[in-house]
Amino acid sequence: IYWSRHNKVTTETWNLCRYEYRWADGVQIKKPIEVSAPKYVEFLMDWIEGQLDDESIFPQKLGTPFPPNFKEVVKTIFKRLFRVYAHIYHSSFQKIVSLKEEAHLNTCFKHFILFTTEFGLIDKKELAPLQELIESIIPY
Amino acid sequence: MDSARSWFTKLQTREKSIGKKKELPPNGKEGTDEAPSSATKQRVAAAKQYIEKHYKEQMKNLQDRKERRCSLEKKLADANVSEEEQHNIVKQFEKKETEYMRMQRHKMSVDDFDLLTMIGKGAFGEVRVCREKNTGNVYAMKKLRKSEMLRRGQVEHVKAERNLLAEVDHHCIVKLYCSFQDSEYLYLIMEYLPGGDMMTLLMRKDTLTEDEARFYVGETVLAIEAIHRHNYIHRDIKPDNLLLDRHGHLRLSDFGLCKPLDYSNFPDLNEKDVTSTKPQSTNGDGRQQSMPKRTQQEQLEHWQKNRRTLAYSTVGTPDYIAPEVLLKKGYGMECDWWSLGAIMYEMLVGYPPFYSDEPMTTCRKIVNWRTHLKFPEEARLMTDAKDLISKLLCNVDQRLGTKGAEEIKEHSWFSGVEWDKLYEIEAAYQPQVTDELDTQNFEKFEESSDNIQCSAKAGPWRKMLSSKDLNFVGYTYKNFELVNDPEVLGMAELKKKEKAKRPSAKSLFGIPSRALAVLCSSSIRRHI
Repeated sequence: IYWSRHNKVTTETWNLCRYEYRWADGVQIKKPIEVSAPKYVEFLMDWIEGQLDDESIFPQKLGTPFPPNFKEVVKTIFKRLFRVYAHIYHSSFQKIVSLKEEAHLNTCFKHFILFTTEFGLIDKKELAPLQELIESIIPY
Repeated sequence: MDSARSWFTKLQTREKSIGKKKELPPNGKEGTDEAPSSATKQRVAAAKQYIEKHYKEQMKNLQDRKERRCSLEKKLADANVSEEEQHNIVKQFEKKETEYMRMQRHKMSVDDFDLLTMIGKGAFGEVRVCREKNTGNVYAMKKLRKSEMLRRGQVEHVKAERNLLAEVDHHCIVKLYCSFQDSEYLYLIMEYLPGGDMMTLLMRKDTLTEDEARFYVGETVLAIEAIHRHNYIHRDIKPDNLLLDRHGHLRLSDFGLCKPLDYSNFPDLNEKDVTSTKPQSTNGDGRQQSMPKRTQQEQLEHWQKNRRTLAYSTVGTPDYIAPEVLLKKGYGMECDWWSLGAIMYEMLVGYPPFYSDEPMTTCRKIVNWRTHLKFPEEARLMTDAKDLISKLLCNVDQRLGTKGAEEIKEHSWFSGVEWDKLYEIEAAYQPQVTDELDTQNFEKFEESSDNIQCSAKAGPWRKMLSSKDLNFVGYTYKNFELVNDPEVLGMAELKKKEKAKRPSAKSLFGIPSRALAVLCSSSIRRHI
């Protein structure tokens, strides 16, 4: 499966093959490139780890303030993590079930959604690919 | 959450309603449904374990945080402190909690410490005094080689140790501050206890007086009780795992993990075979005779010589291990009380009860304890002491402690002991400690040439793809007390007020002043 991102969000939300994501971290890869899902996930995890280790964003020493753009950084992290969940649920869930991992996946995702909702970390339109699953966690 | 499954079913229905045809292989299964490889299964198991551990520890951290808060508020309510001072104390406490959360993000590594004197060495690695570079705090660093633990089947044991130390916060147990790993080693950063250990103490003193032994056996009872209360079986309690703090109080540890007893290589023991293979010698005229018996003094000198060799070797000793452990029949918490009995015997007699030149012979004696448990006349043990030892070195079903530590505490040898004050009174032995880096109470170890400091840094666990590292998923840990903020003066003040005056050992054990003088003078004489 190759991922690239369309400009528009379509109404056919259940069909993820209509959603495509393109990876660009703005540092090593300035221009978005098409990558396979496993590659995208690996790039993403490496990038997130870099963010977490960056003390100018996530200070470790007492008294050091968080940067003014901290919330924006965190929102970007969560937006991109959500895409991993979207991919797993749409394309790999059957595999997850056969490996008997769905309880673990669901627990993590539920925690993820409750956390992002509590702190407003992902815009609603970004959540569209898993709308129905999310509604089962947080009834509107 | 069954909703995920039903949602998935709904998704499939929608896909069908779109009318798109999917080409399926003749067997009706999709190509992606092939059986997962063993590598995939391994990573799935590791992922599950990681996730379960993550949420379990998250809940525990929240619980611990609430408990710390409740504890503080309770102390403030009881203390005579002004409202303004209360407010300041709460603010400092919150600051400390914030710092702790930040510290959780810091990836600990061996580079954060200056490595100092080695105080223990074994097959798995070593124990060393170290100083944290940032804070200057002194700790003991226990470094364990992953490959050796895997080879010797010790993975579960080392995990259990880390879990116990992270879970049990008790004054009888050595404190774990943090743990981390790199590609070659696991590291445990623990409280450094400069008073040495019971092994070193016995090497100096040969034997303890009954009152000294009573004190230390008593503290060991409390320590074993503490870990049993958390459903942990130590199974390797021995003098070198009984550490002494700078005031001489005892804490239980597992430094001995550096000296594993590899009894899995021993041939299977059973009581029948042991009897038939009892060694005997033949004299000139063909008649069989047993070996001449060593006197207590000879046996003690021989043990001291051999023990010193053992201290520097990488092989452990079976002397304190319960027969049911050696027989591999399955064992319970009672095996730790057997070890207590063996240690008590050694404190009073000068050597372990089943001591022999060869570990295998020792194992045979332990398994056949009925024949071999004897008290030398020269030791002049009191009847009470013999009785207690005999009730610890015996069958599981008759062993004191099988129904709980109270059985042991109630024994007449302990009459007069105030169990809840043991750790508050003066210790029976006061180690000499000149400063926080002092290691005079440990054996000296030579630095080996392969002591190059390994600074391989661990990446995230998801990148530890080799099976070696998958075994140690979730090893990292940080203790709240790592946050040592000198500004939290309020807490220090509160703790000072709580500290009761320490009654002396004399008032506890009712030692006549003349006997106490003799005890002191004999100590002085030893140091001359």
